[in-house]
Amino acid sequence: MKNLWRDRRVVGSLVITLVLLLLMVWTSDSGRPYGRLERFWVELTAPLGRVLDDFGERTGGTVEYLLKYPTLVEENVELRGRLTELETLEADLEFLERENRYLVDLLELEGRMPVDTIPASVYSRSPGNWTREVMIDRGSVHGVAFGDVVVAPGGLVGRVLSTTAQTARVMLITSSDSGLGVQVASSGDAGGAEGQLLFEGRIRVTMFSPDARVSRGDLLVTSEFGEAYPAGIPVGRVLGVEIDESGLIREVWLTPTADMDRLSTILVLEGPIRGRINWSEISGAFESDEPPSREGDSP
Amino acid sequence: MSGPPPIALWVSVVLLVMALLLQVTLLPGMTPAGVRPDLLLAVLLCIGVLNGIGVETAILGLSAGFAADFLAGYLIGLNAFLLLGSVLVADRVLQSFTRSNVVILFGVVVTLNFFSELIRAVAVRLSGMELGPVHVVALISATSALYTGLAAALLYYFMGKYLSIQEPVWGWERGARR
Repeated sequence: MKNLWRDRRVVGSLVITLVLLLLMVWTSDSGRPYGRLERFWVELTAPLGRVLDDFGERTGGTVEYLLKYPTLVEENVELRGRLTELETLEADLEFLERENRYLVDLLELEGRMPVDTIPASVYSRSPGNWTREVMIDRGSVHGVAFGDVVVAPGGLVGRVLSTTAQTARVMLITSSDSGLGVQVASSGDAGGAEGQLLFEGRIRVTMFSPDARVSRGDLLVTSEFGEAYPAGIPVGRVLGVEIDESGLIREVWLTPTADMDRLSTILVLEGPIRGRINWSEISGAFESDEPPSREGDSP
Repeated sequence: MSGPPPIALWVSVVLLVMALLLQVTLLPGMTPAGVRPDLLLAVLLCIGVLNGIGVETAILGLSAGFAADFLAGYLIGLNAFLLLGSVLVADRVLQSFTRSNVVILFGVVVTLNFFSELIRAVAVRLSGMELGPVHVVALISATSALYTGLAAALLYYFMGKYLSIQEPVWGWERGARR
């Protein structure tokens, strides 16, 4: 035992332990203000502490990343797959929403139409360059007949050219052979419209009067002077107006109000229709473009 | 020449059906200036060139043409006649070349499609429909032919690279696969 106390390492360790214990007891009061020496020490070591802390955080993050790397790769692949799924789902939803809006509009149109209608689906378009026609899945057994007028929520689509028992062929108003009488909805000025082979989707109108009041954005509707179509159905909006060199002919370019590129379901108006269809009352659109009342129109 | 043709029959049929569906559904709303290529002709001649034009290609052309005619619902037989005629003319023309390349295919397709479109226009006009000025008809035919030629060139590359199960026959080599 004597020898133990004589060992300087043991005595030194006990002294250091005792000093440390005293230090711990002395500093155990957290509310105590720092002494001068303590303050100096704390301020001296604070930057080092911050550096060590940063290093620890970064090292820890890297180690954690390395440890989790295989899981992260798997998770990344899964998330990419999920993202693709969601993007597809979003595209599907957009399509369904557009389709739904179109069908709701069509349903409202059908309900308000003053004549009997036959809803039909477009199942094919003419494959060639020379005709603008669609085939629909309703035919003579459903009541579809030659000359029946075909409309969509936007307005006029065309008319039935021929039928079989279960199908019918519809010539679109964008066909080069689709001559129809039109008039400016706001002014009542009339003209003849025909589709174009080049730049499909535009309709050229030759106004009967060189002084016709028509400008860009105006709505043109079927004319009351034509025989093939009832008056008042929207045909197209004016894209531009041209006057030929002689100044006698005014040509107007229209874009159809019915979306010809996305015809999926359409309405066939049954039988020959006489008189005017008041489209603004039916669809709620184009109200500001109603043609002015003419003499003899009032009941 | 022995063994199966480079493009299997079922692959040919699937390609033609896809071309037909594109032609009557998506294509009308997608093409610039509203001018459409003749995808059936492009696919058919690519198959013919890779497999060797023969009775099989002629029958495929006739069937695809009739399918297009029934979907169009008018002038039934016109597309069948034009596709069959194109196959037969292509056979005769290509026999004068000893080897194939994409430029020759492009030239043949463009020429055949241009005249096919003109014949279609005449037939439609004779059926009573108004088509407009002759220069517009010629412009549309030429544009359509150009589109079809480009489509054929792309298809030829794609089919030769990904769908061909053996070396092309070079259909116009006299006597190949007959």
